[in-house]
Amino acid sequence: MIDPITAEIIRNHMECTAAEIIQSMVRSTVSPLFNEAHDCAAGVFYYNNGQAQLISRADAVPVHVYGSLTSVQACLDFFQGDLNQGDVIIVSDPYYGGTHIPDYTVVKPVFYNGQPFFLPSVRGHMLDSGGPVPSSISCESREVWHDGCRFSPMKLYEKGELRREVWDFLMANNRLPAINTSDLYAMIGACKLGEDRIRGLCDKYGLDTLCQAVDWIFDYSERKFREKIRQWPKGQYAAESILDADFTGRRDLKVAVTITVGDDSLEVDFTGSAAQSDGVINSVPGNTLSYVYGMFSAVCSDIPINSGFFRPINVIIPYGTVVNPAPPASTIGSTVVIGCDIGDAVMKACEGFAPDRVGTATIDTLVHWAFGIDGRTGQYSVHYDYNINPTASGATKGVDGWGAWPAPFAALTLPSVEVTEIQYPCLYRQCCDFITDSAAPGQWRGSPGHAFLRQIRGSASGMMNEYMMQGLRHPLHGFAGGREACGNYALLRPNRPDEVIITEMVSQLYSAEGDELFFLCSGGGGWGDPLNRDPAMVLNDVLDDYVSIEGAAHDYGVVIDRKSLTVDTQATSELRRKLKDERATDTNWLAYGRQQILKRVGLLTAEGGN
Amino acid sequence: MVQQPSKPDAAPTSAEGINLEILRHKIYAIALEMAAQLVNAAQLSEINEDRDFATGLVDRQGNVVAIDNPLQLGAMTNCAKDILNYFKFDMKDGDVVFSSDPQRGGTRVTDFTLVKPLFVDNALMLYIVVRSRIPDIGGWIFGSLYPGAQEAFGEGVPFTPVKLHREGRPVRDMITTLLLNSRHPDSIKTALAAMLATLELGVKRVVQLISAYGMKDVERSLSYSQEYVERRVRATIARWQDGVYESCCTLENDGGGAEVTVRVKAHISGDQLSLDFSESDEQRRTFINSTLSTTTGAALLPVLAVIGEDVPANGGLLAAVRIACVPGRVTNATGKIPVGWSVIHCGAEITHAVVQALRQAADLNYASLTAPSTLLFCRPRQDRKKRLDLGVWGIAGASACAGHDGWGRPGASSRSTLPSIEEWESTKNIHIQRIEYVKDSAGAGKWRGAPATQAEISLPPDLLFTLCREGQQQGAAGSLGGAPGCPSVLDIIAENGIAQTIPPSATEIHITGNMLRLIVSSGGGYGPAHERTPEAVLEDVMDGLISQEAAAHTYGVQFTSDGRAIDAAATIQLRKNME
Repeated sequence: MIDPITAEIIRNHMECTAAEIIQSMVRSTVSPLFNEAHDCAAGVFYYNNGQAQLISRADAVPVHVYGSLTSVQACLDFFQGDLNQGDVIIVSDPYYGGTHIPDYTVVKPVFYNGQPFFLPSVRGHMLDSGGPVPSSISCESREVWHDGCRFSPMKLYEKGELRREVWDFLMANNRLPAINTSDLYAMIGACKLGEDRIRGLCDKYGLDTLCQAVDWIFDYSERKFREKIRQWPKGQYAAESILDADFTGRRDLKVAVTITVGDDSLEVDFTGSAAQSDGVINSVPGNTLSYVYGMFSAVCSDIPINSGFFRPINVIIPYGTVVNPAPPASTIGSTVVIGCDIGDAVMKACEGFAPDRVGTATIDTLVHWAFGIDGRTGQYSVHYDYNINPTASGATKGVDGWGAWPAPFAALTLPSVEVTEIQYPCLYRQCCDFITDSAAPGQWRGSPGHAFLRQIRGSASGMMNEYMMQGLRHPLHGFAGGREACGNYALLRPNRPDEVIITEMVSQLYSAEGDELFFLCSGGGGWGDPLNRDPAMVLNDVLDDYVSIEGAAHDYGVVIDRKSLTVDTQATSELRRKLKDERATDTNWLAYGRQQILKRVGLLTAEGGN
Repeated sequence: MVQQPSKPDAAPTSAEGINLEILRHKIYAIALEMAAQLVNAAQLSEINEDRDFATGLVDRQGNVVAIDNPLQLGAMTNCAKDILNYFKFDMKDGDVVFSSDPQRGGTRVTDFTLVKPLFVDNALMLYIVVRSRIPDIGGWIFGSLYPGAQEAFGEGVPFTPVKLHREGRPVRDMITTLLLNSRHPDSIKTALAAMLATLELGVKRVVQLISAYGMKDVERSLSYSQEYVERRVRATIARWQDGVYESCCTLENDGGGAEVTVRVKAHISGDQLSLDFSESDEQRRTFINSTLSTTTGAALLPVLAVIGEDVPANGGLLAAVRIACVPGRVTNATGKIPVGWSVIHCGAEITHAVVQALRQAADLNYASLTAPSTLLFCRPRQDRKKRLDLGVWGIAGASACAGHDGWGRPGASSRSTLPSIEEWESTKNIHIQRIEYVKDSAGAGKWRGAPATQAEISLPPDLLFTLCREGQQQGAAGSLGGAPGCPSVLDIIAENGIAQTIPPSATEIHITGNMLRLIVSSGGGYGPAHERTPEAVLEDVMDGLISQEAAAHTYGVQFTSDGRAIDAAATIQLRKNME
């Protein structure tokens, strides 16, 4: 039996190894998706009795970490009886344990006694992965063959030797082979570093001790999680999240989830979710499980995350639905759209038994590309603006939402607008401005939404624009009585007679040199009844311009004197009493800021009709 | 990529020569037997109906010794050379190498090449090769014929040379990857099985040949076969007039609505012919670009038509005829450029440009070898794995040659067989209302072109059409005073009887209508029409291929009042007036 102190030292070593792997990768890759945005993750896996299990993970979005688990399992299944020391495996296919094709997972098995006991792995979103569409991402995709070049788990190295033909095949199916070559070497190098660290650990403690420690690590997380579950009230907790549109003309696609809290286990059942889509939003099991695991990781942030943590969770994903599609459905958009709805639905269901632990842990989508000739260089320019992603940070009990991303996405970093202006023909006129009344009301409010106004400047002859967005009609949930997020929208040529309002998707929309593009990027949901928010905090928000005097009264029932800018305590008490009575029957009341947004885009008439 | 081997050695002695001649025929027979087996074994219509494949034997230098389909001589040579070069130091007994990248000596992304080395006594002797078109390998639409493609990836997933079998064992990850990239993996699986079996047959037959004739003679026959062909081709070229002859041919629609021109400079010097396409238009971001392999196949066709069937194509032909083009032209497209339609267009323009160039130096006994084609596919809106080729019913375009009227499709297309209408209707669930020749459509001439055909097809609702139309201005060219063929027409007719406007090219568009009418351009005539024998004109009138008015107006043939006999005197007078 291993002693807990040694096991805990080994656990921390494994966590450090994962962190070192990802640091090595992001510091040596060429792609800005890795070295700036950190759209990648590392994991150390353990192989035992035919099963891959996650020991430790590091960095970036949850979808990568847990998606690696199914990918590594697919590698091991595929190469049963044909895996050797020195092999390096690459896998990405959504129907081979992946999520969407551009997410490549590289795995390097570490052998002891003829068994691949440990598997350091990295996973990241490549800038391009072949297929008919540049960058491999398009809302026009309808089949997995539109999503990129498919490949089964493949050996990049076999017994330590590069398989030149495999490498050349992959690079022949890539628009950016030089970048991808560098990135793949960085990924392989990071795995090699992971192997060195694991071998160092094994040299120090011995394989038996290491294996015992890994079992201890799994058992510990499992025990802690089961303890937590036992504290939750037993029962069934249902929730849903609705996706605005699947970009094919189909609207309001439901992700339904029912969580059954048992004695010391959970069943997460997605029965009732929408049938799979003809579009890009289908989530394969690797992606769906990622969001399920990711949400429970957020709910139980004090438990080490590994496969032991997942043991008490049984997930049911009906085949042929948006959460487990039949091939050849396209999955290219699913890592956010509908993945975030899966996460938001699970989190909303958790509200029923762990209200103190919930909050927005996903994002909504606002994606925009601009294509055209950069007049300054004469080169073709493809501008994907990471900055306009929704901030989406929501409130949790005791803390207002703040910053750009919800915590599980916080490893993603945003590029500087100044550098962006150098790289692309544009000028930011308004940059990341928090918008008054856009924060979702709650006892603790969500992060305000932020706005960008970007002008086309320096193009040769204007730019073509592609928009993909979600969350205007069905924004991110609020929790425990907190209100929903304000929703995303965009405008081309705002406040001009030829203004174009974009609320879902637009392809090939032309904008001339000098035209302005406006984006409102939603914040996350609120937590708790806004009528319970401390009036002093509401006043602070008014003084900071996060909330207007009208919004304070409408959403929070806090009456603020315009001249003195102080809270009228008596009027506030009366208004709060009145609002409490009204909201007892009108549970779907719209926050003041959300009303303004819906009116602006024409989804709500001035009289309030929806 | 096609290199010129050294001049052939002196002819062998007579006894040795007889043996080598026997072996030459036997080696050629192996290629033909492989082809027959492939057709019998394969379940794909691309193989057993379209016969869009090639089987052959390639020597250690990558030169083709024997091939069943001469149109793929350039492709087989260039693919084999690329593969041999790539695996120069890593080719083992039992290996099977696969390649399909148009930029690696290939033609289209759907053309698969398999190469298997044959080792005898632990020494590499030669390679057995099979090329075949398969139905789908990813890309934006089923079948890779995508008029909207702006880059190669729109047409599918190209495979650089990879081993599918390593020392006799399948390479599982590569085979699975290959199958994953097709909408019809089962079809690929069965096609690969048939192709592998064909390679095995080739190996078996060569081994039998060695057992019967000995290694030395068989090895010698590999070069002898090419020397023989080279000698025969050079003898033909030597009869042509030395000089530099230029020609061009313009394609109406490059897939994006613009014209594109192929230019050739034919240089004849003694017994050597070189065809240089370097002055052709620059490559386009449309699917009509041709790789050098496709260009080679299309450019050799006029030469093959002269030398005839007695002389099979092989590396010897490429030694005598040099095909060249600088990179970046529509005739030698490089980079990630779409090439899906190139075998048809601009392949036809390449062939025709060469015909026109050679006609200046040689007495060619044929008119056009190609004709404008209409790409026309449809599929039910809800089923992306289906593709109906409606263009298959364009059974016309053959031009005349000296002594023969044109009939049916151009010779180069008629390697494929046509499906039976009844079988096609029952499997496709579409009804063909009518297919017949169009009166007065054939390109007039002493020998007339094939008449145009008109097909009328009932359309079920909710189809999406993919099309690229050529020949809207003119059909196949005539020659030596013969008239060109008539243009093509494509109509989709709505229930109210009104024909819808059809764009020159489109990808998966819906066109409202319940009936499709496709008139495919006719073949060009050979020689002046007024030299056609009046009896032949009468026969055509009796067959309903030309009207009495056209007989008089175009051919100068007057009939008796009952229309059943020739009015000789009136005909003589009429023809005198025409001269």
